[in-house]
Amino acid sequence: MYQRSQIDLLRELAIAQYKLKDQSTVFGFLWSFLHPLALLLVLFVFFNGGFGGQIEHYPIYMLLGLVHYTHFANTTGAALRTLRDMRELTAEAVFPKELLVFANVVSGSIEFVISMAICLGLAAAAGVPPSAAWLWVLPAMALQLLLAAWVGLGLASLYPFAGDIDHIYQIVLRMLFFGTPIFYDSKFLGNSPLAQTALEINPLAQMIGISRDAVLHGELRPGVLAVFTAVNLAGGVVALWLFKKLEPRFAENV
Amino acid sequence: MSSGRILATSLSKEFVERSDSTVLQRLVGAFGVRGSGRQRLAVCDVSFEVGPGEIVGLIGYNGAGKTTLLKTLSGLYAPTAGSVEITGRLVFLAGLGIGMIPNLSVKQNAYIYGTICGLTRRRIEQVFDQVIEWAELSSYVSAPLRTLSQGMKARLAFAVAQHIEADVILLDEAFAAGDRRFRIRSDDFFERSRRQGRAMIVSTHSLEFVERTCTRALWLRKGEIVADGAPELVLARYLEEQNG
Repeated sequence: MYQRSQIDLLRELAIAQYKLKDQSTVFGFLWSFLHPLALLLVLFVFFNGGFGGQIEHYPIYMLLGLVHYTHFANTTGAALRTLRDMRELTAEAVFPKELLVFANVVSGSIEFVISMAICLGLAAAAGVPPSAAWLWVLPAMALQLLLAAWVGLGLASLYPFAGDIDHIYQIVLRMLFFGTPIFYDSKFLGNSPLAQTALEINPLAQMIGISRDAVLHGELRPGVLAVFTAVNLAGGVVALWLFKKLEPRFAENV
Repeated sequence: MSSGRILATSLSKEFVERSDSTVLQRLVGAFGVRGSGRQRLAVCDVSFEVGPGEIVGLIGYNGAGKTTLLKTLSGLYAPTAGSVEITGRLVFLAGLGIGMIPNLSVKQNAYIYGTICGLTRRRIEQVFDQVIEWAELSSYVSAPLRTLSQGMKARLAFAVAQHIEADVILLDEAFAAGDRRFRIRSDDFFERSRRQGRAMIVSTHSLEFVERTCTRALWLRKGEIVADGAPELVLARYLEEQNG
C-alpha cells in the first residue's frame, strides 16, 4: 500500500511538526496541557456549584472530556489547514498527500497520550481507585485517533477549494463543545428526542463516555466500542476515497 | 540498470480562473464540474517520448508552460486532455530543497528531504556521511538550516538528491542557486544517470547546461512544442529567435 520511504516520510513530518509546535515559546510543549487546564479552571469555577454538585469527581470528569475534546479540535483543525500550510509540499512534491494529514494526527496524538497519562495520574491522586478497567482508555484513544484522521482527511480535501470551510468548522467545533457532555452530565439534556439522538450519533461524546466509564466507574462499554469502530472504519473509507478523488486538483488550488 | 520511459500523448492542461461566488459552487467545482471563469491553456496538445538514457533539456521563455508540463507529467496536475505514461519509479524535483524546514537542523533536514525524494531512513543513514562531506557541511550538522546561505542549502539538497533511486527524474530549475564549482560537480550525477538508463527531463534557462549535458532539447512556447531534437539544432533556432 505505502512504500517504506513513504512511511519514513510520515515519521519525519510528524516529528518535524511536533518539534516546531511551540518551539519559540517559554513553556514549550507544556502549553498543550496548560490550555485544557486553564479551561478546566474556568469551567470549574462557574459550574462546580451547579452541574458539579451532581457529578462525582467532577474535576476529573471534566478533565477527561476536555482532553478528548482538545485533542479532537486541535488535530482536526490543523489537519484542515495542512495542505495550505504546507503549500510547497502539496504543490511541488510527489507523494501521497494524505501523509500530510496523518502526520498532523500522529504529532497531535503525542500530546494526547501524555495528557491522558497526566489525567489518569490526577485521577489517582484525587482518590479515584485505579483498576484494570482503566486500560479501556487505550481503545477509546485509538478510536479517537481514527476519528480525527478521517474527519481531518475529509476537511483537508475540501479546504483548498473553499477557505470558508475553516470558518464553518470553527462554528461546528463551538457547537460540538457545548453539544457534547464535557462539563455537564448527559442527563441534563432531559428526554428531548432530538438531543438524545444528537448525543447517540456524536462519536466524540461516545469516546469520552467510554473513557469516563472506564476511569470513574470501572465499567466497560464493548458494545459502543464495537459500533463506533465500525462507524469510524466506514468514515475512514469514505474520507480517503474523497481525498484521493480530489488529490489531483490540490496542487493547482492551494 | 534502469529502463525509465516517459510517454506524453496529445497532452493538454488548461487552468480555469473560477469566479464561483458561493461555497457550494466552489465545492461542486472541486469535483471537476465546469463552472464559469476565465480559461487559460498552459500546455497544448503536446506529444513526445523520452527513453532510457535520454536527458532532455526543456527550454522556453518564462510562462512558456515548462513547469506546468513537468507537474502534469509528474501527476501533480491532472491533464485536461491526453495522457501520460511513466514506466518505472518517478521522482520530481521542483527546485532543490523543497520541503526543507528553516528552523530544524541540517541533519533533520537531510532526513526530511531524503524521504521526500523517496529514500528510506536506512538508506539516508547509510549515505549521511557522504552527503555531509559532498556538501562540505561537516561543521554545520547541528546548525539550524536558516543559518546557511542559499548556496549551502542547494549543496545539501543536491547531495541528498544524488542518491535518488528512480527510473524517471523530472527537474525544474534545479541549478538556479548553484555556483560554477557546484555545477561542475553535479555533471557527474547526470552522466551517471544517463549511463544507468534513467529517463530525465530538466527544465532550465541555462543553454550552456543543455549544450553540455543534455542528449536532446525540447523548446516550448505558449504551451506548444516549437522544436524537439538534437540540442545544437534546437538551441540554434532558439537563439535565432531570441536575437532576431
